[in-house]
Amino acid sequence: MNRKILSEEEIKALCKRMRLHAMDMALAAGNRGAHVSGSLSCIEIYAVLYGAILNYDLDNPLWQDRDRFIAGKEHARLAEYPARAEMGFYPVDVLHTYEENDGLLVGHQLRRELGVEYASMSLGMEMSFVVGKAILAKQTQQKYHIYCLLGDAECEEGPVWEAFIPAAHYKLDNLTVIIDRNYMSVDGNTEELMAQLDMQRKMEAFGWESVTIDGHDIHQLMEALSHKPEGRPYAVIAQTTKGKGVSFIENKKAWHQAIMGEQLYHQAIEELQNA
Amino acid sequence: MAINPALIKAYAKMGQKGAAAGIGMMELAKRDPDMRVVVADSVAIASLDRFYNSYPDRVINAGIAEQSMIGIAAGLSSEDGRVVYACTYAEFVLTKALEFVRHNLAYHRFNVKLVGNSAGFAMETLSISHWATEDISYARALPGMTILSAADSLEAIKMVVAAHDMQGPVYIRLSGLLNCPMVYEKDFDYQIGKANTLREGEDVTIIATGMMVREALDAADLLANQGVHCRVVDMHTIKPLDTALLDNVMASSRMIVSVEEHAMIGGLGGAIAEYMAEKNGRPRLVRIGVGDFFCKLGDLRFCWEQHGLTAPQIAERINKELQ
Repeated sequence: MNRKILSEEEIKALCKRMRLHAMDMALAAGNRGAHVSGSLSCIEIYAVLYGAILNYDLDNPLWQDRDRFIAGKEHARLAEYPARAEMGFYPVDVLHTYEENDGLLVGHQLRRELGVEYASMSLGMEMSFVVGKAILAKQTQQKYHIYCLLGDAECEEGPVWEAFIPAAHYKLDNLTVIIDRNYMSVDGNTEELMAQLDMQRKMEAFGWESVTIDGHDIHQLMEALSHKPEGRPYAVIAQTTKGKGVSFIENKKAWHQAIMGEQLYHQAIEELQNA
Repeated sequence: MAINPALIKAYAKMGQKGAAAGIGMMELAKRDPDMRVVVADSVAIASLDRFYNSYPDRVINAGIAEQSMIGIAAGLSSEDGRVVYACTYAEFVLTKALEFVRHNLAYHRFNVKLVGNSAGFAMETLSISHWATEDISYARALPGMTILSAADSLEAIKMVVAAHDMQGPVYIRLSGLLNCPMVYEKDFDYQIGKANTLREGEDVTIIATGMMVREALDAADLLANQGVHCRVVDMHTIKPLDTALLDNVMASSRMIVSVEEHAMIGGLGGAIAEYMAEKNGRPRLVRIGVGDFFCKLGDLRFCWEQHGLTAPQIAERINKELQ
């Protein structure tokens, strides 16, 4: 099987490279702008998933027993695509083409051979799809586990909760959902705009097993994501900082979708390289 | 399955949804154990009791959550392309869940078949929240959707089977109540995309769909007594439209009349109008359907009457338009 399992140290180095790729991609997007800060909050989540947790085989991308990862908050492509490129799903040098017409990675396409099991994009679209997939996997006794990443503000979408209910009802213990709890939506702080409150308690009240961790701590992520639930689905609330790693982007709502000019690009790269 | 007139009468009693689920889907379940059915607390609503009692593991309840129902159906089909039906009221399976239908069926092409029952005014006094009178318009605008609309119970059975056997998303529109009047009194060949000419006539061609096919046949009887001879076509596939048949009809009719229990904007009449608009030397098109208003609340016939959809009204309208 062609798949590297990275150590915590290697994942840290991977995160650094991914953040640098993210800046390159933001620059390449030009005046269209890019979803910068929401990508930076989930770099560690993606790095741990693709670096150590998910089962896959690069020589056989459609391997039946591969774990299924379905991305919610799917505008975080500046984290999602570099993780797969770094781990060998496609060359790193196609990353900057992600905004090109009819490009390999443009927009949202279902490309299983590239690790894209579903293209959700519209917030709240993925969770019910994931539940259907997990029900079928249980009915057909599949070995794989299903992972899904959601944004915390994405959970303001009703269909997310419509799907949390059957996930618990059908005891989908082949399902792990990670919620990127970066406390920000487009317009600012979630707790000021639409309070999400204690998401672990909410998930527990919905019949899920849940844990809250530091979503930038590789060790905590490795531990939380290695755990397999029993008899119920599992939600990892990953507390993060939107824009993590670049001082002028962190917690700045203007960077949800923003244009990365040359000057700021060099400033960001310098910060990230010296970190 | 040998189909004889006695069976057809029994199907008619079951209504379109009862026959589609109780006969058509039961048949399919025997030959396709992989097939799944997703409901939104709608086993009873979609007449799936017998199916559920026979195959409880193949029915997945999403709860009263139609968006989630469509997402779950897509997820169930996503691994091996198996056929998944999503069954509830037409208004909810299509309209309420429209973005999920657009994304998962139209865009991703998951092999999901929507079975929307009680379309048109069949929900009667439960009123506009449960009436589906613009669903065809919404579905027609979605790229690559196949849209089927059953004229009677036998056709509804054939439709769910044909939808199973084709690849890709389908919206099946069932309408009417229990004791659905028969259009087909003996067995017939059903083919998606190929309309059925039920009666010949050289003056006018009536192209109808759903419950309006029976009304159109009755209107043609009334008109025949007055010396006006109508061809009647069951346009059971709204998309893709049978344009070969339309070409023939345009070449051989003085007037074409579309009849549907659905909004005239974007429905069967709209589809025919769009096609005909680009043709030279075409006959006149008269569209009969649900007008651009919500009618007063009441039973099926009361609603039909307000939109001029009953057989005598259709006959009268055609007579008027011919003068």
